[in-house]
Amino acid sequence: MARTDKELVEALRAGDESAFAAVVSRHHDGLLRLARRMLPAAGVAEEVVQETWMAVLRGLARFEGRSSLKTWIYRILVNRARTRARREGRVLPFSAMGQEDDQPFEPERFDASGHWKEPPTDWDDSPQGMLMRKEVKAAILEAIETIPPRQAVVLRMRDLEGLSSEEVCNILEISETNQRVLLHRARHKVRTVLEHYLAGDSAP
Amino acid sequence: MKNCQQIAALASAYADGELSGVEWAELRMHLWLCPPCRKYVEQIELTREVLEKLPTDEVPQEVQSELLGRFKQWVADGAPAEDDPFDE
Ligand SMILES: [Zn+2]
Repeated sequence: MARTDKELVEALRAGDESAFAAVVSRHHDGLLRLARRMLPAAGVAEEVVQETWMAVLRGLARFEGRSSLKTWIYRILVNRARTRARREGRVLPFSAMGQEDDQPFEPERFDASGHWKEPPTDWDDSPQGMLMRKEVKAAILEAIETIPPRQAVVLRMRDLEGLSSEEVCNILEISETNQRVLLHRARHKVRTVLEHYLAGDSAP
Repeated sequence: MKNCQQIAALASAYADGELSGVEWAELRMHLWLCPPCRKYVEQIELTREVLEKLPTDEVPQEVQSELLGRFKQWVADGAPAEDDPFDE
């Protein structure tokens, strides 16, 4: 019985506290974890997410439903983070993109002619099974916290939040090619973590 | 012709259906002939699925209450609006 965006927005405008609690519990953790990768200084991400919630409320009258409510909230967050970084004389990690594109992909797994040196081995579990294992879930989260911030931000928006590639490019003001490289490098690193657990017995 | 390293670099774009027709056809042909790359693409798809299913943490009680307090205040103030929520 999840409410549609339109119903939620109407309920919020009408002052419905349960609607607000529902929206917060659905998005707060994701917003905060994303913000922390953009603004790592202690406490700043928390402040910006709080500001974001207030901006969401004050902007509700203008929400037209052209994007999903989630996409709209993430757009507000990234804009707030940008403003905050600018005010502190910094820029978000997105202003200097590009160098990743030129590096060869994962050189240690391939030989000089680009053939697999260490081919992928079979995995012994399903996605559901993987997430049931506490240590696997913790390792995935840890990987997302430690990969470079640009990769983490794209990964969170695309795979954890389900935004489209077009939306992510728009919000982050990056090119399609850049986004694709960042996303794949991020997924590749999470895949390597999973490989460690799921092919652990047969790996050398 | 792309080698395995170049194919693997495009695995996410392939899995997400974001390749052009020509590139897509080249990958498809390579994957048909190359079990390791095929396995790699499958594992990237599995990784994506795991990430999509990754549960979020609950919001701490004090944060919930703090935000709810601000929401009540916003309602009490007559739900003030701002022209452009994307800017200061
Ligand atoms: Zn291959």
